[in-house]
Amino acid sequence: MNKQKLMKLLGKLMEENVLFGPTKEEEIVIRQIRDLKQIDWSFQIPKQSFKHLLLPARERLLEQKGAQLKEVFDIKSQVIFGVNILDLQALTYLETIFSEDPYFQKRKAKTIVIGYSSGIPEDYRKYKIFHEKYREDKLEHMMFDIFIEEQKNKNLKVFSGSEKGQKVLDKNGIKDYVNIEYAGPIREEGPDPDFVLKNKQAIEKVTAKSKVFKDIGNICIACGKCSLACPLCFCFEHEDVKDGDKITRERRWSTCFFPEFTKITGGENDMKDAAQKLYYWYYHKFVRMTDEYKFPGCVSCMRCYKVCPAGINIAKNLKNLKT
Amino acid sequence: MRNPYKVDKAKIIKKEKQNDITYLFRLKLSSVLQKNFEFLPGQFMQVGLMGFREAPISISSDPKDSKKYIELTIRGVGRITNKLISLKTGDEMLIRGPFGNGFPEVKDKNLILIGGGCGFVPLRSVIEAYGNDKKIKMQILIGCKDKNTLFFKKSFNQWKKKHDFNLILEKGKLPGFAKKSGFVTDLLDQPLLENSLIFIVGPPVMYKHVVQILLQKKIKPEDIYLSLEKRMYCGQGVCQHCAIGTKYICKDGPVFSYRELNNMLYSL
Repeated sequence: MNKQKLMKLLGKLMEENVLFGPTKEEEIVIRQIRDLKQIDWSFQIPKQSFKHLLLPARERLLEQKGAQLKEVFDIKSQVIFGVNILDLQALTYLETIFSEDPYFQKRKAKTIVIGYSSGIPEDYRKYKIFHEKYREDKLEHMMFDIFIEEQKNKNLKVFSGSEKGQKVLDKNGIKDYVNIEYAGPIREEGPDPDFVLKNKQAIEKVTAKSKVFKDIGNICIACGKCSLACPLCFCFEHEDVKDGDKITRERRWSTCFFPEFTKITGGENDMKDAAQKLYYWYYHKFVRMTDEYKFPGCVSCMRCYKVCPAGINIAKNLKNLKT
Repeated sequence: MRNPYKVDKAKIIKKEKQNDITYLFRLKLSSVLQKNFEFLPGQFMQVGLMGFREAPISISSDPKDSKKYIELTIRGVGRITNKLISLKTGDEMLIRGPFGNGFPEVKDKNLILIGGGCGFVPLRSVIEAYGNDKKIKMQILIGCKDKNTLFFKKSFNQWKKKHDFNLILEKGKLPGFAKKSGFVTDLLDQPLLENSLIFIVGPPVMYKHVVQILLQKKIKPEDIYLSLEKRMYCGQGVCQHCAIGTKYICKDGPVFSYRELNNMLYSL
């Protein structure tokens, strides 16, 4: 396939769905694409992750009007285009975490995910020590509908990763594609020993009182930007919103850096300072998640470092914890 | 796919004042739900109202009555619980659940129940569940601030008749029940029932002291069970607010053995 055909496919998909993709403003961001010229073809890691398209920052769960109380699903057909390999990995993990969540799953069913790779992302090379090994069978462990690989001669190699993806390709006369069967989020051999297990062990052997966490705790202002930018921070809270005679229960993103995250009525709060919050954050990502799902809560996109006003560098911290 | 956030209406069929801020509510669920309702002592419900969110509330009734009604003891200490205790018989609450693991089943063992303040709420369900089991001896130890903050007072006579019932108040006495003032730890001076499981529910500050004494008395960490509390929203082990170590209070707890907590390096 070539780019012209891809543009034609995206144009067709735009007619029936809302199309989201990377676009360049001051930085590369994910926006609704209304004109295909808006798409940024550099495929660098965008400022935001794609998580908000499957797990919105605010979404309605229930609505009460008078005596009537009902479940609400605000879901539209959407196409997410240009998901790089790291963000695709993150969406795959999120899908597993929210496998029993009807809001996430209904939205995913109405979403066509199109991954795009123009080689290993620039940042991925930069933080080589930190990331998971890039393996040939990576696509088998990614959740996507269509994946497009830009080759050196600029030709596009097309993969389908779901029945939905196949249908879209067939319907649009694209025959030259390879079917990839999804084999779950992790490889049969288990988690990547270097990235997943060594980081887990490194965090398990220390506490929030260790030097690494004390040092970063001293400069962290607990603003929570890292967790909002992270493609795999998914914690949330519920909020009821009143509007006239209508009351809506919403699910909203939360962050473990906020003061009330673990506070209970009566004042008990076991996360008292930034070092404890940071430890809790790292512990969740590399210990609890690995224990629970066999994959970590990090795909090494470095967004947490890029948005951090204090310059806290996760790659450097993990390296320090391991030495 | 089941929607875990869907709430059900539960009608208040009885409201009984326990003290100035605490009420025992008997709730009738919708007929289909009530018919199939089952719970274990120690499990909790997410209870709320639209506009007020939800709060986790332990069930305090007898599991054998679960097909007829459930009882919740609610203390008005925050925005949602204050609203809930203002409700009257005939009003409705919105509920989800039950959640959590509950206390382990008691077989061929005796039971020591240690409760501090409002912590006693889920232990009432344990007393009701095993109260008529002749094979299980029960020793009940309750510590409370003063006689005005006590609840379940109506049951004290019956509990005293059937079990080894001990009450202590931080301030003052209660004729017939609390002969001296002090903390619940003072009740641990007496001989404890042998071959027992120990269920403890109370504020975190109490756990530390009680567990320390129990360990000194050579009670095994795996026989000590504690019910923990933390802020929570989903009840599914996803929202992350109630995580401790690698576990979730809402899903893997709220009841943990001291052995488990120790393995998780959770410090009381």
